[in-house]
Amino acid sequence: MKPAPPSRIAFGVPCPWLIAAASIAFACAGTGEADETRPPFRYVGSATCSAGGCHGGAGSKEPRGSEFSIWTQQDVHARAFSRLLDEPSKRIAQRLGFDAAHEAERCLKCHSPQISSREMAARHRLATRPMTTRKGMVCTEGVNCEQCHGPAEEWLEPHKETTRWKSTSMADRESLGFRDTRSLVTRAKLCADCHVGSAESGRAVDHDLIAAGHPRLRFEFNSYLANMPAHWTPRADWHPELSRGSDGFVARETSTWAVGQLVAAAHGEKLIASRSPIDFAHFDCHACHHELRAPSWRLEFRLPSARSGTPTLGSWYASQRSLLESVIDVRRTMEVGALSRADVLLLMNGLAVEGAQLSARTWEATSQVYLAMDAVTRDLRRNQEQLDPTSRVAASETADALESIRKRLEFPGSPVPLDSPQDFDVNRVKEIHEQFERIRQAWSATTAAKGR
Amino acid sequence: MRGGPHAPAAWIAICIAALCVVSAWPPQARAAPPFERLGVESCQGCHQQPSELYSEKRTTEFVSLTESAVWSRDDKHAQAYRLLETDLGQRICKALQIDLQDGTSSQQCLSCHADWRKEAPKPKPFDLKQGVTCEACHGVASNWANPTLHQQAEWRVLKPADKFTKHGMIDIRDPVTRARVCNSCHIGDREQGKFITHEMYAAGHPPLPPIEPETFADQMPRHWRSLIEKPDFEHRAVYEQVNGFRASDHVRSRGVMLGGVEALRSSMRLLAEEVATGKGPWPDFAVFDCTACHHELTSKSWRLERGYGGHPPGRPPMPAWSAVLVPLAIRHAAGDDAEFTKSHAEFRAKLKAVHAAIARRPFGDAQLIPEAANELLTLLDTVEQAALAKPVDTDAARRSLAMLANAATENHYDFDSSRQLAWAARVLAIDAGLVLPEKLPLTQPAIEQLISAAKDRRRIVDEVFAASKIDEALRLRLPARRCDSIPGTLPALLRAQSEFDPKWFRLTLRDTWLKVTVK
Repeated sequence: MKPAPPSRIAFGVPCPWLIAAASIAFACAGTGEADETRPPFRYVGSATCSAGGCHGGAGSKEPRGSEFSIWTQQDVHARAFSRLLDEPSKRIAQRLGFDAAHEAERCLKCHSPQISSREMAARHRLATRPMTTRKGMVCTEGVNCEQCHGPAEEWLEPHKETTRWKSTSMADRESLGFRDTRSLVTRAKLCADCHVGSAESGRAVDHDLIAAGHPRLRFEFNSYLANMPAHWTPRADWHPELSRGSDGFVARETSTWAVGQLVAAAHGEKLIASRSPIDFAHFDCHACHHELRAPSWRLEFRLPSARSGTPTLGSWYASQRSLLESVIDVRRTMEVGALSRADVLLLMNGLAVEGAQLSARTWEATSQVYLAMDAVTRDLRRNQEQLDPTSRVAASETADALESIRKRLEFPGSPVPLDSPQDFDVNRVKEIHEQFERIRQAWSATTAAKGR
Repeated sequence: MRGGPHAPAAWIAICIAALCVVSAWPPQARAAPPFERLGVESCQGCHQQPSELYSEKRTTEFVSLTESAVWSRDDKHAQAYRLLETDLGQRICKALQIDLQDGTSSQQCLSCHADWRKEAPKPKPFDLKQGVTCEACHGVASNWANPTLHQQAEWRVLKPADKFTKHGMIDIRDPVTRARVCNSCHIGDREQGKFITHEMYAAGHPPLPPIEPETFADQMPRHWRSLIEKPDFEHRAVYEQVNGFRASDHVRSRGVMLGGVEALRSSMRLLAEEVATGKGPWPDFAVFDCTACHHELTSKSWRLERGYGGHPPGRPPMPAWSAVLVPLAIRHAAGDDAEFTKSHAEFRAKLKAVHAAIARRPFGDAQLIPEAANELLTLLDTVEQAALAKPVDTDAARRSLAMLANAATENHYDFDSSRQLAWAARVLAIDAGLVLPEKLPLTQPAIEQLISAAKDRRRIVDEVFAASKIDEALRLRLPARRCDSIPGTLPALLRAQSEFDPKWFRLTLRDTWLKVTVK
């Protein structure tokens, strides 16, 4: 961490965590970014993918062959650039003093990451014509195929030879600029570059941007993937991290969640360290942003240890790391193999205790515990036959309780999902707590818990 | 910059006035070291209940001699210490790990709640428990109450400035001095150790409301009479002269104007000092506008709609309310509209420089803020002195009222600024309907007539304010009576704040003004 953190802020980065984060960073090196010794791979544009016989099919049953069509028709990534031309974006740009959102590098870095200057346009040989603006050229495709799968200059031709490409090792493919998006770590990192922000590439939705009207980023890998229109068939054995599982228990969502937590937190840490004083986007929004009320449930629930009036840091990206660490050997899991049934059950028991003790009763911390439990519970229910009867009952009880928690975490009937949890008050906190308590009791009654 | 071409005569007048006034202003109404606190008991001997002796001596024509009784029976200031012992007070102390009996940790509470200022000796336990006592506002009394100097009729003919510098008595009738005394607690003064930190607020200390001294004084149980209400007394003519009294002066409107300047002065001083001396990664949050951060996030936000005055969004500004009344004094100090336009532009530029220093980076640029703040403070001094030199007649009150109504239509004011505007508007509206005689009538019937005219006017204005719902929407009535619990009124106040609609206020204030305007 570059600047010394202010002493009043609870920073506490446990060492094993850093090691885990570093190992992930290491695992990612060379998979996505071009290596320094050669010029960066060039983009060719998504038009080259769109042929009907390649990825532009109209398949309704299975995504294979229709990847481009799904992306262009259903995926909001395809509209990332045109977003910058609409009214809300214009107003955001105006408040920030930008001439236009679709010409501002700050915006284009995520909304149209490929081309944002004439020089770059000249370097690339896009099949689709980039749009010329007053300040240069931009790619109007938004976040397109190559943004995740890698610039296709070198691998476009080889990958058309299907049989040979299939037998090409991933390392060889990566040497051509292709990215292994089946790897959860690589994938999470790609998402996090924009959806969390990246200090290296200068992508950040900071407090200025949020105050100008940009939605706050709240990335959670597993639920984001679940909500994205999949242009792939989600098969657990695709992910190298999962295919190595030995006990036949497929913890797809739990692993996705865990990888997402680690990668997002690593990105978050770097962003935090990149600015001094810390940018306010890294605090819990609702630590400050709540109407002043009397009586105040916040006063009632204050932690004895927390210093009054000091905003809490990183409650979105860092809330689960210590739990993850204490329950499973993160490093081993990510490097060696999938989470086992025992890992997942251990994690669930840990979450059940954490939920009931949930000390910082903020909307953000509560939502993170909810998302974690949701991922784990889905895996448990999917692998029901492998559970002992007591755990099966507990998993079903948890699913019920989570449904009830979700309703209480949702923002008040707003059609625009940007409002704050205005009625996240003492009553909701108490009701949510009751449900978490119900989950804790359900798991404390299981044989696994008793056997420990 | 002391801009503006003034006529030489006006300049001389201003300079003379400034000289008198400057020496009369205690820098922060702090008594000089040799003077000592005597305690409430020494005042109570005489100011509790007038004895026959004083009636015979006609002392009661000058002073009621029931001040101490009113204070101890009705005034919330007398409860200030006891608030610390309530459930809320105890909870705050616990959260902040403050032990009230302890010498060091409790001073941050007792500086305001019992007038135990930084670097001053701790008041005796009995005095501490009396809260904000006589000497907190009138000055420590060892040199004027003991020996009984102030009981002599000759005391009245002393210049207020001498009373302070030579004897330690604060000239609480002077609007600037009074505003400084009030503001030292009601806004804060780090030199005196009076500063409610964000940590204290977050532990549960009720938010400080904006302060308009005339309104605050008006809602307080009065233990004083204005000069206009007093029958003749010994040495009256000299008293009026040394106190700069002018019969045709609307003292309350004058108090609004100068109180408005002082509010910004106190806020600026607090901000500059906190920025210069604060030890954290950023200045204490308490010097910024609470509601800049403390609002629910919503997609239909009037803040986004209003914009951020050309500054980057997301950088909390200083409280807006403290600057809203300053233009009144600027206009009053100016000879005409053209001069006002010029000096107002100068003020706006200096204020903007402060805002820019604050917005340069989140929570301000520590180098630029004190510089910009000092420039603004210098300008405010000049305005204050020039405004003090001119009487506030009925026309001036009317013009000020019209300015407020027009300003409100041009800007988006937040809840606290709107309260400040509405409080000021009410005082000005009362004066705008009263024409004062050139010379004070000293006969009892004439005084009564004057008082009754003021009462009638006040009733009319209050009815208009109540009918417009401004009273209710802005909670203009302060919890100033002994029976009003401040924590008890917080739920309604904070609800009103979160439900406040700036657009509604713009229309309503203008409408209200039209109704109270005297043709």
